Amino acid sequence: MRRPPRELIYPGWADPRWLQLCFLFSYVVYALSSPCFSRSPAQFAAGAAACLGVDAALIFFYRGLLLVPFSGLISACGLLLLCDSPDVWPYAAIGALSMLSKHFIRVGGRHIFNPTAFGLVFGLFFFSGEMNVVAGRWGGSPAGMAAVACLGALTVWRANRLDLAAAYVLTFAVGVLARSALTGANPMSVAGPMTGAAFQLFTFFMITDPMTTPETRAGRLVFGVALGVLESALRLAQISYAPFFALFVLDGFVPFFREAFRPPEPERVWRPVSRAL
Amino acid sequence: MPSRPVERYTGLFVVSLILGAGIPLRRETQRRITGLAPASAARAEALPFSLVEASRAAGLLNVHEKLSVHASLANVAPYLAGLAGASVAVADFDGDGYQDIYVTNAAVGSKNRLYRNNHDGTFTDVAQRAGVADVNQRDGSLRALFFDYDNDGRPDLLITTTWCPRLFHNNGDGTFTEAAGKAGLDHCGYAHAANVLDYDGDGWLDVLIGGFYPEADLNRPSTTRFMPTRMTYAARGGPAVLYRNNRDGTFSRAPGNGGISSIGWTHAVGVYDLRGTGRPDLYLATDFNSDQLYYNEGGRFRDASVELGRKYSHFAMSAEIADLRGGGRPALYVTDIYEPGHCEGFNALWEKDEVGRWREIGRSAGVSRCGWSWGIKFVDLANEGRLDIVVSNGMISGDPRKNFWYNRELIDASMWRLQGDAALWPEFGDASFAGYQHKCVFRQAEDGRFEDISALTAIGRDVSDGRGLAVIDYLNEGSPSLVMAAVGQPLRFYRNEQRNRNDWIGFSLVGTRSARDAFGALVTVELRGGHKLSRELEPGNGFESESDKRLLFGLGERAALKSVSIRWPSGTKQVLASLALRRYHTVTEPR
Repeated sequence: MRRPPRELIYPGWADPRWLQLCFLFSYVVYALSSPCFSRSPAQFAAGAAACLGVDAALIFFYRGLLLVPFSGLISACGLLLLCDSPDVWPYAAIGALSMLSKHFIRVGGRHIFNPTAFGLVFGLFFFSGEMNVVAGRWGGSPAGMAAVACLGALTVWRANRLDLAAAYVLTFAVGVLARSALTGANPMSVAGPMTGAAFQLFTFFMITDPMTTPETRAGRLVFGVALGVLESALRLAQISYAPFFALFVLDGFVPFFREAFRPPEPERVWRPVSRAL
Repeated sequence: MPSRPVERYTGLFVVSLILGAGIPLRRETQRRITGLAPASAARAEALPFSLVEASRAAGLLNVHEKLSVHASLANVAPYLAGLAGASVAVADFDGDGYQDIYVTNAAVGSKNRLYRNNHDGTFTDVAQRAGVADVNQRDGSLRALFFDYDNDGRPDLLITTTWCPRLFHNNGDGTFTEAAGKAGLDHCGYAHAANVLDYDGDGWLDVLIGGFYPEADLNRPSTTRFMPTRMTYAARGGPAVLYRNNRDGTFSRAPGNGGISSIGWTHAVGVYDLRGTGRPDLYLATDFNSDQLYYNEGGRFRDASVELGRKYSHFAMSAEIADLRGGGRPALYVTDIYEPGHCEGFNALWEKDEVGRWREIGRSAGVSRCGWSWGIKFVDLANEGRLDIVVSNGMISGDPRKNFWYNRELIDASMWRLQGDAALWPEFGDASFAGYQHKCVFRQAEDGRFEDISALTAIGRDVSDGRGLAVIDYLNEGSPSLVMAAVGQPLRFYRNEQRNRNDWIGFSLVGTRSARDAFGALVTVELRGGHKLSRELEPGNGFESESDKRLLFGLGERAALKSVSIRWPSGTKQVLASLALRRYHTVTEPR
């Protein structure tokens, strides 16, 4: 049933995305102010305008709702942190593509691709001369890493996805040992990404997207392990941006995960906690 | 809402579609950007000049011997060796009126070359006889620079190495003698950036040596923790040290280092009077961090990096500065790393606007992408009165089936303790790392725009790992040729054959009140009709190179010279008239 268009829907305080947004936005402020990142407010504005605009417009068009596009804002934050380009337009293009994937690639009425991961992978393939994904602009101090990890763990715990994150991290760690044994590489260097902020962001803010991950614990554990295995395989082949490609490919299997790990009661399906104004 | 059975395959269909179209497209994009545009023979023939690779005919046969490092650094040895050590310096060391070429090798035990100009288009290696061949017994040479530090009219030779710098005094008989006690150049540390300038205006050339790694001796490392702790904002590397000329053949450290507080990782030192004050300013092209711009406030430098805003390069390799447009305002070109799909750095071209603010116009001017760029020279290839841009590039051309970018990203993603320890870097092996890149030639058109004519030139088809790039008019015929050193590969010599009737005029400057080399002198040529061209003598700008110390002006066809004015570093102004074209003029500063 459609709501009247004049009704503005916004997230309630119980919505775990508030926490996620707060943390991500603080990282955005750091990125915009730190000389480590070459990010400009114009790039963030372009990405945010594209994400928010496309998300809000499509929600209104298809569902007749005036919804504060919280997810779009979260995607815009992730996009600014991960996408690297000296230009402004890639942020707008990838932001728009992310939201289009959310609204047009749907199964059973729900999107299956993590929007930001979809947009970045699309950009890596189709605008590869104009952008890439960076992992190393965070400074890499142990204290910073610990802070990001703790805040991230809190966020995924609120979203009921801590089990998925743990399954992925453990599988990645096993993959490190396996790759080190297979290639003879120093395990410390192979494990390097686990110590970086980008890994924490990927683990706690991207793969744990409640909308594109299984609802049951068993499903989430399998999803996390599968992601870790796939990424390790890609890394063994020395494929750049392995985490994003792995998540993108695995998201293609999300409908199967949903079928195989269907929750016993429909009301347990994760929904944003929203209120009508 | 449960999905229909066929819907389950939506995701797989999308993944297949994007991978199926995206993977070939990504490869094609990388091939198109790193490759050369199709070029027709007719267009190449129509160019008013031709660069012909003539190293063998000229007798320039050095094959660069790469930097050797301690066995404990074997996993990163190719990377360390790829960074530097292929330097080229041009000077008339024997005073015969023809430019000679000095080329360095970096392997311990290798010998450097001093190619003496035979005046007939060929060169002969006389380094052994001159006493500047066997200088790599302990440490490898990184950067060579000729300058007359004692104002005796003969170019002396400074060589920075993997450890301590070495200074050779020119005896005036075709030989050099190493200055005792390094003449006061006492700081030891890996440095491949150096330049000379009279920063305090006393008429004697001072030296700035820019360090790279923090106190690391690559042949005798006491630690493996000397790599950058971050890729974009690394902790301090080796310091830049400013030495003041004592006017007695020695140097001492400038008080307070002249106000320079370097963050290290310096690849090149650009020197130019950026504000028209008559004093040399500095641009430190810095890797793994933001570059540094210093204004000379009269013998002391002030950090003005903030004027370049947030855009300044994180992976700068070198800087070249000149009056690119002929309007009297300096343009600063900074080389950086661009690798499609992996690194989005860009070569920045900074110009000052009407109110003196720096504006970056490299991308709009079409000169921002040239792979992993190193050396850069502004040079008027066809004597048209407009400076073109030539860039050397390419990091390591190894096995093209193996790509180090994945490992570089692995390092990039790690915390700083791992990044900073060379022992924990992945094994480099024989991988390629931004290798096999085509050199770039951007030709300036009459309207000030640049056209990429790389594919039309021989140097554009060169895929060696180019580093030091120098300009030389080796037959004194007003034709700027190019000599390029390449890591681990043969020296390249591109003879410039003019296919035009453009006029030219050149100047060899002799300072009297200023330093004898007259570095920093500004020569302005005014043509009838009011068009002005100006060049500042700064031959040591660029990456590990030093160019012809004469100023060459292309004037176009049927040029009519109105006047020539010179602003000497001492502040003396001199105006010359009635000068003949198509020849070099030796001009001595009025006392």
